[in-house]
Amino acid sequence: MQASRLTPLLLVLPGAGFIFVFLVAALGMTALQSVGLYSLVGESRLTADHWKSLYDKAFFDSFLFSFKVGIASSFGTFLFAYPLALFLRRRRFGTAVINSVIKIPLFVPALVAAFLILNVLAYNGVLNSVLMGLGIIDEPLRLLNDRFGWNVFIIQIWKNLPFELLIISATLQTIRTDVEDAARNLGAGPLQVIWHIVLPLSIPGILIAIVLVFILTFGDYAITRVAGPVYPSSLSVLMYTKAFTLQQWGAAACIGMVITVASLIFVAIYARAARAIEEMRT
Amino acid sequence: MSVETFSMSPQDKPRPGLAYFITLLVVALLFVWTAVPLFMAVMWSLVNPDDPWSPPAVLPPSFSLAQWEYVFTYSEIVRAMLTSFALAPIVTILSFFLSLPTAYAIGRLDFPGKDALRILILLPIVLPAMVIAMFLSRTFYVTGLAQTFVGLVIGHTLLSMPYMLRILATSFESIPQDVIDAAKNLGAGRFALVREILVPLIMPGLLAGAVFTFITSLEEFNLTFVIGTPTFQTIPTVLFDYLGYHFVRTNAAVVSIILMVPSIALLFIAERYLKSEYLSSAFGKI
Amino acid sequence: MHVLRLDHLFRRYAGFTAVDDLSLEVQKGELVTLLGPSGCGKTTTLRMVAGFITPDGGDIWFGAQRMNDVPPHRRNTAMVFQSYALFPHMTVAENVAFGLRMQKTPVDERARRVDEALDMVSLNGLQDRRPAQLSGGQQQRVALARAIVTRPNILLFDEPLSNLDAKLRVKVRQEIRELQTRLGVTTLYVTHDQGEALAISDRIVVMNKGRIEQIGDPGTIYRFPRTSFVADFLGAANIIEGRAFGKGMIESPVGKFAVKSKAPLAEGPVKMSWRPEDMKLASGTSGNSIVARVRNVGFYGNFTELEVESAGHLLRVQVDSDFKPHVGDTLTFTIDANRIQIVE
Repeated sequence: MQASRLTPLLLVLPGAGFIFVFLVAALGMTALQSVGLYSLVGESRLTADHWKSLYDKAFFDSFLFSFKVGIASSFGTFLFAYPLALFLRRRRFGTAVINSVIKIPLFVPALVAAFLILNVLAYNGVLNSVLMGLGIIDEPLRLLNDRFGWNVFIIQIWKNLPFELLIISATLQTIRTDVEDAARNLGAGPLQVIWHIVLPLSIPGILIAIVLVFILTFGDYAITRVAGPVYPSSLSVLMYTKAFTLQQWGAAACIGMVITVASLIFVAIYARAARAIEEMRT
Repeated sequence: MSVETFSMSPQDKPRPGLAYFITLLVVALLFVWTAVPLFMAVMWSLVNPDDPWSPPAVLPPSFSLAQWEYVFTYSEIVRAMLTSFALAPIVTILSFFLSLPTAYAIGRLDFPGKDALRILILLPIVLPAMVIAMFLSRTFYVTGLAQTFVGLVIGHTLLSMPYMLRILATSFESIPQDVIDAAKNLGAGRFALVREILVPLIMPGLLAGAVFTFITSLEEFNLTFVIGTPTFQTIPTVLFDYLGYHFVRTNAAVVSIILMVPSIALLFIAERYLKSEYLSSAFGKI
Repeated sequence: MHVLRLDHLFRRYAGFTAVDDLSLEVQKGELVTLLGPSGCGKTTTLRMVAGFITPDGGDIWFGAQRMNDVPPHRRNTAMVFQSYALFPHMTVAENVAFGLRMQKTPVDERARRVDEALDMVSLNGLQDRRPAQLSGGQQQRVALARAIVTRPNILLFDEPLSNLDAKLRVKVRQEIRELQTRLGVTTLYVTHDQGEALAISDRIVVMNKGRIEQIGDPGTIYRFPRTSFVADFLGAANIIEGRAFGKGMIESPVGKFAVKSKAPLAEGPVKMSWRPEDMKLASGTSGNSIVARVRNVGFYGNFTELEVESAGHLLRVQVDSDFKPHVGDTLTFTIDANRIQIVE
């Protein structure tokens, strides 16, 4: 289309412009406050003090915790999502039902998901009732409030499984069946086809799914606040506490920068993987 | 000529027994995994306060609507519902009008920096929500938008619009150029082109995007919590209250259901339009 | 006056020239085909006529009106696309009526003309179907009906038959030609299929690398190709280089030939071209003979094609299908002097 040079810019302005303005405002504020400027308590001066204040056990423990939960959630979800995606590739009699049912957690908000799972795992929740009813245990288990963060982990898997499933399914669909047929024709059994053909070709999609879930769970506030251990808290919870409870906005801003930068690094990985998919598609 | 019988690999031989059983097992497991938590929430919301429920009972001994009555009478829920259901449509409409031209440009035009633009649009939903929430609120504090409805609208739009934008962009992109050329060739000027061709063909994507944006706004927590409370409550912030300091399971159950019902209802209504292609193409492409 | 005139048209892209100094005039009611291999510029030319591409140089005239700056929707052309480009969200009737609606034709006249057009393409009764419910051949007819119903000045075809299977192609191209003749509408047709071009065109414009190689009616182009490209593109050709040495005689590695050419033949190197079906089995020693050894025999149903070798040159010969030579046989052929073309 031979439009003027200006047309794309004008068209792009409302949507992209809106996002740009407010995103820059938010992130800019984060950056500025992390170095002491624009402080709303006390005076504003350029300083590295806030950054130095991060160098304590609480921060490192939180970082490790968030990182651990992120990895565990994204990979844990993947371990369930990938086989399920493979299973759902061929249209069997149950696939329509499964597809509808599996989408449900996608539309359940994070807080509700947290509640639902906590409810099930609680001292007087259904899991304990069933296990006691079956005679497997005599006394209800105390599954909540452990230091490792198992609940957070389970909740995140519950919530993010359909998300990863959809992305991986879409990737699997791009793998042309004639490529698989060629492999089978040359003697590959079903597991070998998966290992040598399907898995390598679906790696960009897998990367995208894992990276997206990692970013979400790494920076999560709501679920870890509700279901996570009191100590260590996730980075976002620590950030919130420093800001609103301790009024240490500078330190909070620094934590905000750390989370943002980590996420951006993973966004870059995501972008690379997405480009690989585009190349494969053409 | 002799007729050879080729031995079939296990792949090809129909084995209704094993496949059927496995599928059934998977369906059952998924059903339990997804439905039981939901079911339990419903159960807890219907607990009779005069007839307490504790293990090893799997179901409450009797049902009553007392919890629902309690929540509706004594909590902020009604005010929160009004706010939530006022915000969501406004945010959806605003997102639509802001996204439309941008989505068209991304979907159909070529210009330098398009890739970077696509990433920019992705950022609000990929960057840590609490960071954006907290520091956007600081900016609002400075500009006087904190604790205002306008501030909430802006915040919600920032976080929901990317969905609408990406789905709309994919919709625009999937219109074959030939069809547009044919319309022009047959006499359609700019307005006729938009009215007759572009709008009808992006309609499914538009509806999908609207559903996504609406639900995202309804469910939005971090930003509303930081910018809106205590002046404004939405359903998620009320739920957070019940999950934090005042953990009353039955109240939490009621509010959870109130929050989930519109989402799941919209899911099933939009099932026709909400093909997984939309979601994954919205995320799979750069 | 001409209906369409292309005057020294140029179109360049980064690194190459798609259309290179193209001039052409099309008269009322003619079906002119742009024929050539992919990348020769035929589709670019067609799209310039439609208005989707702007020429970098030269002019496009519809009659006395210069069209270069007129946008596509105001050109009164109608195009049948290779992919049919039917509007997926409209019924067949709505698709066909679209152009009429853009022309603001009154409703009742619109309905009548739509039915009329669908009738002409033998699709009456399918008014309420959607494109997705139609077969490829049916979709193509809808695209055709949609184009002709608007009574355009110029009808444009962009390789409309390439998505149909072979037998259907022959049938449909005849129907297109009959329709075009009946309506008397000036038509510009693009294809890479030389059989198609030969079968339906009033004139053929053979294109190669953005330039016109030759324009003429099918018989003339086939019989008297002017360049080796044209000779080889339309049907098969045997092209042999030789030396003319006066009085219409040519010496070549495969034999000595007497040729009849319109202009006297200057002495020097020349290129000869003849068709496989013009090489006949010689009975006895006549002039213009070629002795060759059979390398390959191909049975084509209604004829047999032989690949023969003479003095290191491979030639293609078409003989009667009853004749069954063996690989390695030595045969003698002869060519009528009238059938040898001198090409560039």
